[in-house]
Amino acid sequence: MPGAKQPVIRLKDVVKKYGLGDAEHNALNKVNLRVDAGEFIAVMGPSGCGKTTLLNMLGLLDRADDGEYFLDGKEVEDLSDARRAHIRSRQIGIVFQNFNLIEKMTVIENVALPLTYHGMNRVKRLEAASRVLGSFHLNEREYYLPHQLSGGQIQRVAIARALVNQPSLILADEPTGNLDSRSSHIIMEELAELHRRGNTIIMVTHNPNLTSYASRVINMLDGQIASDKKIRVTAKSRTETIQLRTVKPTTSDKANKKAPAKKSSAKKSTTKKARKKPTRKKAAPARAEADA
Amino acid sequence: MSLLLFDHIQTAQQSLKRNRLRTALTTLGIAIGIASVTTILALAQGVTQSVSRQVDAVGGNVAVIRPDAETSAARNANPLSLQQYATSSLRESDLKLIRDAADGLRVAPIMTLETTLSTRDDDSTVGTIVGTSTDLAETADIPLLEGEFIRDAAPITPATIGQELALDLYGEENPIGKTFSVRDTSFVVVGTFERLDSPVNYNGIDFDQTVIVRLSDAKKLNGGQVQLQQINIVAESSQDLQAALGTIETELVEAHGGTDFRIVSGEDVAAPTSQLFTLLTRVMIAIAAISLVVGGIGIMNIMLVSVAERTREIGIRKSVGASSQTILTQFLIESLMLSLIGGVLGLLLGVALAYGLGSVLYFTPVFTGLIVVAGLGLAVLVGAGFGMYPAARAARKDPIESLRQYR
Ligand SMILES: Nc1ncnc2c1ncn2[C@@H]1O[C@H](COP(=O)(O)OP(=O)(O)OP(=O)(O)O)[C@@H](O)[C@H]1O
Ligand SMILES: [Mg+2]
Repeated sequence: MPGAKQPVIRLKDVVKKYGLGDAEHNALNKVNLRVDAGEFIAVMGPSGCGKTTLLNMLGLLDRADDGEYFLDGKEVEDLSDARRAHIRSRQIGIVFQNFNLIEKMTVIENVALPLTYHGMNRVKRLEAASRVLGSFHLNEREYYLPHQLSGGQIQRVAIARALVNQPSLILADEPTGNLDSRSSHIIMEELAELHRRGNTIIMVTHNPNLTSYASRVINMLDGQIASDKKIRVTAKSRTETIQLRTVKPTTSDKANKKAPAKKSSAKKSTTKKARKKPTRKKAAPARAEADA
Repeated sequence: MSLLLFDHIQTAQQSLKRNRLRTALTTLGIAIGIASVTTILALAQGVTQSVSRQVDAVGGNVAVIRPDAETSAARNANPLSLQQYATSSLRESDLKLIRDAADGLRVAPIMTLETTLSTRDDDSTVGTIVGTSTDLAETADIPLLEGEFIRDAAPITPATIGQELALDLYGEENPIGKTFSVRDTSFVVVGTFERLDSPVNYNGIDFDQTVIVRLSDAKKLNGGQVQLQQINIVAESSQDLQAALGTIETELVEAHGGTDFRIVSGEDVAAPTSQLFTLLTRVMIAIAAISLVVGGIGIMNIMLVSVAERTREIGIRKSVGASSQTILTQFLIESLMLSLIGGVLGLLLGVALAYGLGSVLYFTPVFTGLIVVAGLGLAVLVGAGFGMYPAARAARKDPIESLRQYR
């Protein structure tokens, strides 16, 4: 793979301040971080330690007060607004902690929204959105409005929206916060599948069980990285955790019990279709960079 | 990018539909402004066309001599007082001079007086008396309904009277043989004009409201003074006219000891009236423009509300890949749609209004393509102008700040 050596993300002493005067405090306090392509990072830490702030920064939604941020080797401070928007649109998928769906748009329109800024026409957009929603078992809810959904369903819609533009960098802020453990693992499987296909994932979570999917776990404390551990994920350890889960008794009803097998096969077929795309996507930014 | 334009239109459509009442009221503001502008333009166009039609009807062989002299500077500064000459530089003796300048010329002086006309039954009304020569019948296009035009040799003091004035004075269309008096002079109605419905013409006279008498009689009414507003000259052909005008000019200059008059011919004959109307039209358009500005402020106001309400939406759109430019375009298109809908409604309203007013005022409004383009163009201008600030505000919003806003 060309450019495999170059880190996707490189943060140098990044500082983000909030408040003024005596109230001033650093939400991010000299954060240094290097993320290589294809990593799956779980970010943990107590509430208010700066996890969301970090993701916003990485997602080009917020600017650092100090320090440097290199995305694909390029200093983001120098990028124009249009360029940043273009990178967000093509390269980055964000799942927000509070979902951030547009209330007056239907589920499918919400999911299709990022593709609008690709200049994709409406029909194609809705087709693509429908495909992604299918992999999260939300096809029947396509024409619902967000307020007509359960918390967990909203969360899945938010994830679907983050994935619809097939981003190479996925930033997920507690993507399973509202989900029961089985639904959590469905989401995690989806992220794991994206990870296997070479996408980079940074996920904030409070659930230590879910770190088993990650290749690296970062612990944050008071705006700083307190610990940073690489985990070797073997196929064996993964099957073990999955088996462990299936043995675990679940609280959900019987009707749901047959679902997982069916779901995973349905998912396979959709993911296979999309398989080729991320590789092409990864080449695209490099080309676009050359253009600029 | 063109596809994105289509998306913006769709988004705007949805947003406008969601707030129907708001959209309708804002649109109405613009519609009223555009309607007033197009109505005024259409009526003005109608007036201009009717004047040039009259000139065409008489042919290319009309010339008009108007006073223009020492006093002209003050007079020109106020075109509204075109007919109120303190003292006209044109003299009664000029008429003979002009008549003798060439063969076959028809010469009609025009002297107007505003006076009170009273009938024997003590009905009275204020009207315009025009003192002229018999040649006016040929120089102006005024067909008779009944009777005859004034004649020079008549045992009585003859008057030919316009339709509306006849109705005012006598309550009938054909008061031939009836009399009216102005001060001490008694006039006999010898004929009536057809209703012309053209209050605007190159003579500056609304013939429907006018009594036409001999110049000598008008002079008597004015205490022996002749005040000529203009002299109309008609020749057999335009070549004849041009030849005659040369002679007339030299002779008049000689007689007056200078150029204190203006000779206009051809298309320019209609000009003084169009000049007057251009000015009036401009004043009225300025007034209409104010209503358009008010409509524009309405758009700005509503768009600012819309931007504030949709702050979160803006944050979300930016976070999934919309650039500031895209957001700007989105909101600009929304305000453009508001103003364009208003513009189209305004045009329709303007057509209805112009024809409605036209039927009362006896003008036929004329809608040219240019008026339609001007109406829609103004609407677009207002939409873009007043939509720019709200759109720029939307575009400037910081995504994180916007996302933090709860509604
Ligand atoms: N707009 C803001 N103004 C002031 N302080 C802020 C603002 N946004 C975040 N902060 C502060 O920055 C710190 C980090 O916030 P952040 O949202 O990153 O926490 P977090 O790690 O995501 O917490 P949680 O797990 O609860 O989501 C907090 O102490 C918060 O109070
Ligand atoms: Mg957070």
